[in-house]
Amino acid sequence: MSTKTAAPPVLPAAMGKRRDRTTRKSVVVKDKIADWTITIGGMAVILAVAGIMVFLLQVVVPLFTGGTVGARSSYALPHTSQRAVATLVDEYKAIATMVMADGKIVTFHAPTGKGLQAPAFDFGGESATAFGSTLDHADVAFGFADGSVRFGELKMVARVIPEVDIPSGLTRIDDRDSTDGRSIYRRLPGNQARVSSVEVTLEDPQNISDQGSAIVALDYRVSGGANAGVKSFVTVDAGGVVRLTRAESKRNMLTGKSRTVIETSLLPSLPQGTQVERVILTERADQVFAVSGNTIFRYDTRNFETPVLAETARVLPEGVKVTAFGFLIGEQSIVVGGSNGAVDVYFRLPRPNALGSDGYELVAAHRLEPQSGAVVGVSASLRGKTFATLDDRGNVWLRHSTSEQTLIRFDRKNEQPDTVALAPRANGILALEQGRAATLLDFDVPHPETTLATVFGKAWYEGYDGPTYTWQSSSGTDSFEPKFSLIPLIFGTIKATFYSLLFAVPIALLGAIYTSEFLDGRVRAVVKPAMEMMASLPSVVLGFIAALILAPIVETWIGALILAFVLIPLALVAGAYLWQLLPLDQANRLAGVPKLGFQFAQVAVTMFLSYSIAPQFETVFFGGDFKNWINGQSGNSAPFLFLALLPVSFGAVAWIISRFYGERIEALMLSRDKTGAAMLDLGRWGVILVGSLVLAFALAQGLAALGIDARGGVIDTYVQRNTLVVGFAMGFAVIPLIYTLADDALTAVPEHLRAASLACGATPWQTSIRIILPTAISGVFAAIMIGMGRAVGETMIVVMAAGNTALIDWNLFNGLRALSANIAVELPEAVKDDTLYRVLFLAALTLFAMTFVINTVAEVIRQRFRKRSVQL
Amino acid sequence: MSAIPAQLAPLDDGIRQPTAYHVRKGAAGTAIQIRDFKLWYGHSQALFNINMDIERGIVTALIGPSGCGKSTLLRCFNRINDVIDGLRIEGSITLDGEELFGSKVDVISLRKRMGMVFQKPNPFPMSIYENVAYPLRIDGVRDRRILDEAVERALRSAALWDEAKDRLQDNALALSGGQQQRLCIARAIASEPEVLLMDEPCSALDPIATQKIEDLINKLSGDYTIVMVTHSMQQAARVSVNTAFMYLGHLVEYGDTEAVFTTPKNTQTMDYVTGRFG
Ligand SMILES: Nc1ncnc2c1ncn2[C@@H]1O[C@H](COP(=O)(O)OP(=O)(O)O)[C@@H](O)[C@H]1O
Ligand SMILES: [Mg+2]
Repeated sequence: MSTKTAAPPVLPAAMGKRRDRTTRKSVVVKDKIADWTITIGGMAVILAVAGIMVFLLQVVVPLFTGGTVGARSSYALPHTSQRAVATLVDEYKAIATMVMADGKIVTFHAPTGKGLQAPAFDFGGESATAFGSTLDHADVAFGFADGSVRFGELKMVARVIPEVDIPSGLTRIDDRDSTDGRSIYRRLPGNQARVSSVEVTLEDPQNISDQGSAIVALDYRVSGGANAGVKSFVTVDAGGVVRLTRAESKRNMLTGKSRTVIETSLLPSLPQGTQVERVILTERADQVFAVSGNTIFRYDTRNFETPVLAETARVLPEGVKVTAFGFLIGEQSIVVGGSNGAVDVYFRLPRPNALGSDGYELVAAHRLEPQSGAVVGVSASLRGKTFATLDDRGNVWLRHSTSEQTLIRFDRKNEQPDTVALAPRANGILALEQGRAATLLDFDVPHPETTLATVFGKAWYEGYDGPTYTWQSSSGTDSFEPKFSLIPLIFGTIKATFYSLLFAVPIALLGAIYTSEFLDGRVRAVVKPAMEMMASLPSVVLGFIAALILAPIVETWIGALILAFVLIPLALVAGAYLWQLLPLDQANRLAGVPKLGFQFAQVAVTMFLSYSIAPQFETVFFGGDFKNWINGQSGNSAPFLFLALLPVSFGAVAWIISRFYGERIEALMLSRDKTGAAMLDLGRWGVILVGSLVLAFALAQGLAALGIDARGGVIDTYVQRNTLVVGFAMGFAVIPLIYTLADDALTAVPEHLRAASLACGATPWQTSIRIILPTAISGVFAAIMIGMGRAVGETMIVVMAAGNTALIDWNLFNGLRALSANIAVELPEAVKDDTLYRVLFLAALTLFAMTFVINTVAEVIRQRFRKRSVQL
Repeated sequence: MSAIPAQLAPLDDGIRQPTAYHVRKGAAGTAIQIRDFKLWYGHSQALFNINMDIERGIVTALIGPSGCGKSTLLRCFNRINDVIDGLRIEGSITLDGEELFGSKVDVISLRKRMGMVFQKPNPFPMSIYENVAYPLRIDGVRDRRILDEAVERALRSAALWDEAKDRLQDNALALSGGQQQRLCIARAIASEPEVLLMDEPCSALDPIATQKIEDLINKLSGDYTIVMVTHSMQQAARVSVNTAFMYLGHLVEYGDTEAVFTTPKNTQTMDYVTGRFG
C-alpha cells in the first residue's frame, strides 16, 4: 500500500454544511440534451426505415395501377360516304391517315384534325375489294374485282431537323405544331423540330385469280432485307379459292440486277359454300388462317408445294360470327373478336392429341372481358401485347393479352364506329366514325403487362403449353415478351435457403453444443472469436471461391463427396464405440487433446478412404459415373435407394431392437464390468448396422422393382453451379452466425441447471441434449431464424455460385436464381421507371418482407426466451 | 466418540432436540475419508491440508465464514468441480475406500452414488414428474411402472408427495421456493444414492420452508450419509451430529457438534460460534 494515497474527497456534509439537494442546472440541461438527441436519433432511424419502405412502395405501385387518361380531342373530318380500309397514327401522334377503298388518302393533324394534302394511290378509277397490310401498315396490298392485286408502301416518315432549317411561312396549328400543308413541324427541345409526313408508292397490278374472280380477302407480309426481300400474300377470291403467293427478289451480286421469282400455291379448298371473310398469314408464310362465320381454317403451309388444311377450329358458339381478327406483335397470338362481344386470344400450340393434323391446335389461352356489342375492330400495338378493340356501339377498350386486364375503357354512346387505330407506342387511340368524326384519346399505360396475378401467379405466355411461373426479363428479339413472375425467384431464394440450412444447421448446432458444453474454456475463448471472424468473410469472396474452385472440385469428386457423407458419421460412431473398450484409466488419460486428435485423424483417414475408393463406389452404386447416372443415362436406381434408405432403416432397426430387447440388454450390461458392457454395446450397434443394411437393401430392391426411381425431383440432372455448391458456400456464411448465436443461447442457460444435471450423474452429452438444448431452444431457434434471414438476403454467393437459372425445381444438383441475385444481376441494365426496373423494386420489397417476417419471428422468440431465462 | 448421551444438554439457543439417529452416531464407520487434501483455483490455493473422516449415516455440517472453502470441499466429493478450468488438487479423498481422483474412476458412476442439493433451488424447466425421474431416465429406464414407483417414493421421502401428487405434470418452476428445494432433494435421492451433499439448502428459503427442509434432513439421516454446508450455526446445531469449522481454506476444528459449539478447542472457532467473529 502506498502511503501517498490521496485523501478521500471531503463531502459537503462532512464540512458541516447542509448539502444542497437540488439538482444542478447543468445536469438538467445535459439530461435534456441527451434525452432529445436519443429521441431524435431513434425517430430518425424509424423514419429512415419507413422512408425506404415508402420509396419502395412508391416505385412499385405504378405496376398495378392501370393507366392515366390524358387529353381527348374530337373533331370532324371532310365527309365521305366510303369506309376507310385502314387508319394509322404515327409514332408521335402528330399525323394520322385514312386509306379509302378508291385509293384516296385522307391525312390530317392527329390532335386537331386539320387536313393536310397527301398523295393518293392511283387505282385508275377502280375501287379495291380487299385490303391487306403488314402489322405496321407500312406495306399494303389491295385486291380488285378483276382478280388483280397491287402492292404499295404507306410510310409515316419522321425526321428531325435543326430549327434554322424550318421553312418560313408555316401555318400554326396549335401551340406545338405548324404545317406547310403537307407535313407537320413539331418543335422539340434543343432548337430542333420533327417533320412528319406521309409517303406512298404503288406498284403495278399483278393478276392472281384466273378467270378474273374478285379478290374478297387478302393479307400481305414482307420479310427479308432490301437485297433479298420476300413478299408473301394470301388471297381469297369470290370463287372461294385460296392462294398463297411468294415473290422473292434476288439481286445478282455481279450484275446488280434483281430478279423476282414468283411462286403460287393453291391451298386445299374449303368446304362447299364457305364464305371466307378474313384471311391472315404469318411473316414466314408457314401458316394461313382463314375465317368464315365462327370457324377458323388453319392451313399448314410449311411445305409450300403441298399445303394442308391442318385444322378447322370453331372458336365461337353457333350463330356467332368472328367479326374482328388479327395477330398481335410476334404473330403468335391471334385475337378473335366475336359478334357477341367476346374477345379471345388464341395460341397455336403443340398438343399430344391435337385437333390439327400437324400436331398443333388453336388453344384459347386468354379469354378477355367481353364487350357489350359486336367487336368490329382490333388494333395491335407494335410493342408488347397491348391492343385496342372497338365494338359496334363505338366503345373502345384497351386491353393486354397476357395479363388479361382491361386497361382503359373509352366508352362512347350512340356513335357509328368505323375503325380504330392504336398509336404504335400504345399511348393513344384514334377512333373514327362513319361520316367522319374522329376522336384522339391520349393516355399513358406504362406497365400493361403486370398485375398481381402475373407477378405472383401463373401467366400464360406465347409458346407455352399453359400458364406458368416464369421469369425471363430480356431476350434478343423485338417481339419478345418479358416475363415477370417473381415466383421462380422466391422459390430460388427458398431453395437456396433450405439447402444451405440443411447443411449449416446441424453443423452449427453441433458446433455450438460442442464448444459451449464440452470444450475447455480457454480453447473456447479462441474458437468462438475465430468462428465470428469467419462470419465477417466477405460473401463475394465466398461466392468467388465457390464458383471457381469449389464447383469444379465438387463436380469432379461428387462420388467421393457422397461417400464421405456416408462414411464419416459411420466412422465417428464406430470410433466412439471402440473408445468405450479402452480401459478406464487409459480413457481418462487420453480424454483431452489426444482424443480430439484421434477424431481429426479419423475424419482425415475416412476422407482419404472416400477419395480412394470413390471410383469403385461409383461403379457399384451409379453404374460407373455419377453424373451419367443422375442424368438418367446409365445405371438403375436400387443402389441409390439403398443409400437413401439407410438412415431410415437404421432408425427403424434401432427402434425395434431397443423396444423389444432394450431392457434385457440394459440388464445384461449392468451385470457386466465396464469393458464387458462396452463390448455388448458395440455388439448391439453392429447388429443394428447389419440389420439396417439388410433392410435397406431389401427395401431398395422392392422399390426399384416397383419402378420407383430416386432420380427426378430432389436429385436430377447435374449442373456444375448447383445448389449443393451454394449450400456449401452459404453454409460458410451462415454457420458462424447460427453457431455464435446458438452458442450464446446455450451458454446463457444458468450454470445451476448444468450442475444439477451433472450432479445427477448425467454425462455432458445427456446434459446438453436433455437439459441445455431444451432450455435454450427458443434462443437456438432464433439463431436459426437469423441465419435463415441471412441466407434469404445473401446475394453474392448465389449470384456467383448458383448459375442463376430461374427454375422451379427442387433438384439439388441444379442451379437457381434467388431474388437478391436477380436484383444484383438485372438492376444495372434496367432502365429507370420501366417495367423491369419497377419489378426489381418489387422483388426488393418482397425480399424485405421475407427477411422482415423472419427476423421479427426470431426477435419475438428471443424475447420470450429472455423472459423465460429470467425465470430460471 | 462412541458413548453418546441419550439426552443432550440444551444449547444456548435451546432449540436443539435429540433425534433417534444420534444414537447411531459412529456406528457405521467412515464414508468419506479426506487426507492431506489441497486445492488450487489457478494460482490461488482454496483448500489447505484438509484431513477429515466423514461418518456414514449421519449429518455432518460444514460451517465457516463465507469464502472459506466449504462449497469447494463439498463439490470435490462428487467431482462437480472438474469442469472448472485450471483446477488442481493434491492429496486424496476416498469414498468407501475408493480413491475419488484415481485414474480408474468413472466420474459419471461416481456422481450417481451421490445426490446433490444446491443453495438455490434448481429444478429443471420441465414437469415435476420429469424432474424426479431424470436420474433414472439418464440411466435408460423407460419402464413406466419403475419410474412411477421411484418418483412417488422420492417425493414421499422428500415430503412433497401430498402437495405434488395432483400436479405431477405441471412445470416445476410453478412451485414455491421451499417446494422447489424439496423437489431438488427428491431428485437427488430418486436414484437412491449413498451420500447426500447439500450446499446451504435453506439459505434461499423463508423460515417455514427452512423448518420443513430441516425436518426432512432429520428424517433422511440414517438412510444417507449427509454432508451439509450451512452458514447458520443454529441450523448446524439443530440438524447435524458432527460439525466441521473451516476458516480461510483450513479445517480449523472438527468434531461432535455439541463439542464444537459448547467447548471449542480453537479460539477462532470460539469467536465464530459465539458470533464475535471479526
Ligand atoms: N470457480 C472458481 N474459480 C476461482 N476461485 C474460486 C472459484 N470458486 C470459488 N473460488 C474461490 O475459492 C474460495 C472458496 O470459495 P467457496 O468454496 O465458494 O467458499 P464458501 O465457503 O463460501 O462456499 C473463495 O475465495 C472463492 O473466491
Ligand atoms: Mg458456498
